[in-house]
Amino acid sequence: MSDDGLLLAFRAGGERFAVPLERVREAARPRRIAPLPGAPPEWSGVALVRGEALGVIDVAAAMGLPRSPAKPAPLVVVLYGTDHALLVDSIDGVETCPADRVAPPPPGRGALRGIVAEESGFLSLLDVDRLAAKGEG
Amino acid sequence: MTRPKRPGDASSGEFLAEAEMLLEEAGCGIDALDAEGDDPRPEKVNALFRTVHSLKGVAGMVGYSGIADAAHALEALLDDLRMGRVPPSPAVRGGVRDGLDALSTLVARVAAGEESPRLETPLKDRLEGLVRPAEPREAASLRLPPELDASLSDYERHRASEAGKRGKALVLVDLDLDFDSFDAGLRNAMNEASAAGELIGTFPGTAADPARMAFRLLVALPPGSDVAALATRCSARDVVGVSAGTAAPEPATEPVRLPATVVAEPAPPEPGPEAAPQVARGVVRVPLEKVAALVDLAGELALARSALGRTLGQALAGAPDRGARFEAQRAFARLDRLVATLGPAALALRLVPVETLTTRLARAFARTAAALGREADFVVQGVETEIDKVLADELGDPLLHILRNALDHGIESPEERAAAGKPRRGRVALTVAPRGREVVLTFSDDGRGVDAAGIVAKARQTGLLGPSDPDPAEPFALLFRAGFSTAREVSEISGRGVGLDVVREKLTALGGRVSVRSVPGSGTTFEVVVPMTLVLLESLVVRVGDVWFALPGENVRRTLQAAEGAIEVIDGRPCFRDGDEALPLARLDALFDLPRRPDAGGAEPVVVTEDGRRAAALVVDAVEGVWDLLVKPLADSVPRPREIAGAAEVPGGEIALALDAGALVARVHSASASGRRA
Repeated sequence: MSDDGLLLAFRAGGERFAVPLERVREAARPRRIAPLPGAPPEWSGVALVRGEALGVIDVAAAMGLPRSPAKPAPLVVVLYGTDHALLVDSIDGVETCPADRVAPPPPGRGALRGIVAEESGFLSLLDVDRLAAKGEG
Repeated sequence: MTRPKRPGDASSGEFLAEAEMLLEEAGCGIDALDAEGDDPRPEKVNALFRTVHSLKGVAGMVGYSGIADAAHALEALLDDLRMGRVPPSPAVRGGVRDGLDALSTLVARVAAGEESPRLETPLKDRLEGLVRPAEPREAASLRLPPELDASLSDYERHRASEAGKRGKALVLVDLDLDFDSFDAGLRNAMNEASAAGELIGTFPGTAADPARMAFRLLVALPPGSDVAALATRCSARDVVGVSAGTAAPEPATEPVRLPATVVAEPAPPEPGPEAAPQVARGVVRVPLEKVAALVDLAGELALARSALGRTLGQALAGAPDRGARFEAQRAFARLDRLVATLGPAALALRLVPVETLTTRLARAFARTAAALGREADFVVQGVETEIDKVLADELGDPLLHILRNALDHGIESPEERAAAGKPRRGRVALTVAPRGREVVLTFSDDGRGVDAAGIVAKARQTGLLGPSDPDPAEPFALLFRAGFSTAREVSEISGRGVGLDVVREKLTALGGRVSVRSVPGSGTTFEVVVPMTLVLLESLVVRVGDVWFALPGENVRRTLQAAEGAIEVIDGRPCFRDGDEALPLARLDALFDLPRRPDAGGAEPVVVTEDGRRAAALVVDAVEGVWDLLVKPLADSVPRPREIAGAAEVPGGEIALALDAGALVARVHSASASGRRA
């Protein structure tokens, strides 16, 4: 499924997700996320990070979990190669993931590259490009 | 420039443009050093060192070894200067100036067509006399933790010992940061440290907890600094003193904890953090940040004025004394006028004549033309047009690119021109003119032009256009597409297309845009449009529920409280009567499918917006104020109604969605025409 690689693991909607570390520009706490009228529910809104206007994808909502409630100083993971950031609950840290532990994603679970079984549940590897593209559709 | 190129090919034009810019920067750098005198701030010396280092690199890459050698010699002198091996004496500064002059001469010789110019007496020999050994360097004995001591660079060691000699106190600021936000925390601490003194170095530390990140900042503080306050501002875990200098009365392993205030021997007075503004011929130079602060204050004042206007109206309504009421209204009207004038006046401080930019362009043009063997004139009109200082600086690169393009691909060789029945000398005209709040720069050449059909054919060949895609309405726009510019051989067909995507990107980032039109055989015209004041857009900010919107001030005709009866229904469409006009009206919440607010009853705020052709009325929940906003565009990939163009931060932290007035007015007209009740 994927090469052994460094991942940034985080939590959203009570579950654990990860994106390839090389796609992460930074973690930031914008002062707020402005809701975007007419956007699909997985889009949390617009945040300004270092003066740049970014579309924020609510990872929980995009993965079929309840939408993240609005809160002050939300935590977002800013991605390279997109104009987007991911809204997450908390960051677990940098983790390695041996390729042989990654299982193909269950069908119908959205933009995932694969999942890794863990002691208590799963770590879902997000497909960053499909996640952003899903929002466009 | 990423790979070696031979002198004399098209890249010499690029080299000249870059070298000229670096030399200009270095010229400013040495002026700055002269102004600093005997104790120059290290960042000034470093900046000059880096500029000369870049020049050496550029010259080396293109193969001008004579220039690279000279730059190397000058770089060595500057290195001695920044490491304290030579004093910043007038003689040394003079030597730096001589070096820069020699480099300018060499670059000019390249421009004149010389293959690989070289100084007759190497610059190294000429500078030799200056590099007399300074007083023997005392080995700095810094009492630092050993692991830190090992990782100090020579330069950092020099700065630390220098600080000790000048009676400053060295401290280590220990940071222990959350992984989530460590970059913000580190940046903040570095800014605070630089503000408090000299930040000499930043080193990784050891965090006790793997989820945290530790850093240590080595900082030199002037005598009397409040260390405790610095620790608080940096959110430091700890700040400990380390001493510098030759005396080391205590064992080196245990750093000494400093009292809250650094006490040190009296030291020579320090120059303030900001050099005094230079006064010359009735001109005051003011740092841009101070202008920005003034502009912000003017915005705040305008807000306070609006708030006062509202309460004053209410307060006066009940006042029995008609004379006093009249006087108060008159005084307020005067205040209103003054405040309204202050904002634009403050903004105008940022403006400079575009001449500062065009002069640079003209010089680069002459050199590029010479390098390419073109005979061409560069004619500029409208040099008095004013433009934001920051824009004038930032526009240099993209505009140079357009000029080089015109010379390289547009203007033909003298022989080719003569054969085509054109004058041997080509011509590129630049016209600069203000248009509303924007400045238009039009570059027209009388070269061979671009063939639209050729561009489309090329785009199909390179896959930019699929086989089933129709011919684009704007074929020239293809020139600015990234894939197009990599097709180098396109210049044989169309004469254009190298790196124009970069030009467009840069201009877009500056809030501008570029377009091109061309007539094959007779020339090409590039039109560059940029905002006059860099992205600061006077905006009316309104609110619907908890969503904030910003409308460009120039698109707002008026805002008012719609009294009962001002909204009529004409032909089943809600309309707002503005004077003689019946304008289509929409509720902004309905337009954007926002949750409908319960009717507050009574008058609601109405904004009459116009796009230059038509007007429409919008009902909002509240008008929050007028600010100069830095509007940032939103990427196309973020799904949203097309009336929302970008976003901007409103003072106070809210984010306003920036509305595109043209799209909005069109939407209200069409929503209204379709009979939808807004």
